[in-house]
Amino acid sequence: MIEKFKPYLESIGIYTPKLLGIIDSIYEISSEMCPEEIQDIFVTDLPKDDATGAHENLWFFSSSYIMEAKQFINMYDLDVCRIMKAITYYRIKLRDYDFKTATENSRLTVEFLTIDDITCDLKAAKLNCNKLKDIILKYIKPNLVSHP
Amino acid sequence: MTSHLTIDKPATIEEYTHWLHDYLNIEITYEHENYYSTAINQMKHQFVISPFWRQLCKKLREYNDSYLADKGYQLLLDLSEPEVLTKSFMSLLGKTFRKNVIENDDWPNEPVDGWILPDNWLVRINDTLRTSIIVKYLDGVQYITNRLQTLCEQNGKILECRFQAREEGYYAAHLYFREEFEIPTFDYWDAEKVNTLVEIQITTQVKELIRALLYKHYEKRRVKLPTSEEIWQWQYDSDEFATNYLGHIIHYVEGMIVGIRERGES
Repeated sequence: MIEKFKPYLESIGIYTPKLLGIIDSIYEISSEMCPEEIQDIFVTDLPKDDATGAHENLWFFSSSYIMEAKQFINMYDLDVCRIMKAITYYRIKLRDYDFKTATENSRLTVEFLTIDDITCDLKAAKLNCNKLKDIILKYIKPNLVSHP
Repeated sequence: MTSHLTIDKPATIEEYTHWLHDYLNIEITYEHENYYSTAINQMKHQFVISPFWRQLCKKLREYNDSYLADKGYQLLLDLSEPEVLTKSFMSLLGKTFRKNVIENDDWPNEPVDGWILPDNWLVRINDTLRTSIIVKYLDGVQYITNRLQTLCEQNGKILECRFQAREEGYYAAHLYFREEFEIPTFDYWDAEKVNTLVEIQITTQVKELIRALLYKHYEKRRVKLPTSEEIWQWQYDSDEFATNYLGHIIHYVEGMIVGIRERGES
């Protein structure tokens, strides 16, 4: 169940029963697919002119793995990739964000490459930048290896 | 040194992507594909929850009931909400190849309306979002078209109607109207509004079966330069010969069916 992730989801505008139900369903499937317990969640959101966000991809994290549900509102397309000491490169792009305070104009994207040649791309807008920063510091940076 | 006037047309999609890079300095990468996937899914999501689409889906039941009352037969094959489909990235690229190269009479110069490129293809390609309405009888095509024309007018939209009758045996009505969508910019930093066409295809249930059969041949032919050997009308042992002429025969038979039905009614 996604109770533990609800505060984050509500902070990025995901609170309707329908959307929460979709995420819960994907969480259940991801829990079965992942060899470890899921620890964290991130939702890629896209900028929109109004106050709402447009949600694109759903990510789950365990200590060694990352799972992505692409276009999760419209379809189930899940993959699992290991990240434990498996990231060889990552790149971040920021706009109006100093890694401390996020505003309405803040944008943060991170792209990283793994030993297995998998490219992952996470995007955040507005306050979601803070969550993505946490993800980078907790799951991406520590798993960067110097010798693949 | 190669004269611009002597550039051969690329013959395949692969050659086309090389040509885009060499002559227009455009490299098609996975970033284009990812961005297109994001944008088109955003557009689809916005469309299916839009008031116009919700109203259209509800109206389809009314049209079916009116037709049933008028003619004594069901109009629609299926009363459930039509599925909204998105064009795949490869199909999009294939269509730009067709428009920019194969069908470009001004080659090697740009077509009359300009090149269709990543910065405008969402607006220029008319079927990135499409849906189908399948009717049971041939006269149902015009019946639905007329009513959708009225619905669009009531909603301040201009509906463009093209009745297709292709030599490959493809018969359908293609209707187009513009919708505004909000999608991220290519760098994902901001949002922008795009005004793009949505396509509604209306065809009969038997023709829909034929379309499924000939689709793979049709798409293969459309993304390469035609050669003189490929005159399907003389290749009587080919699948295309059978399915294409079947399309024409079916159209004729469906016309006869409606004619007989109407003579019976009168």
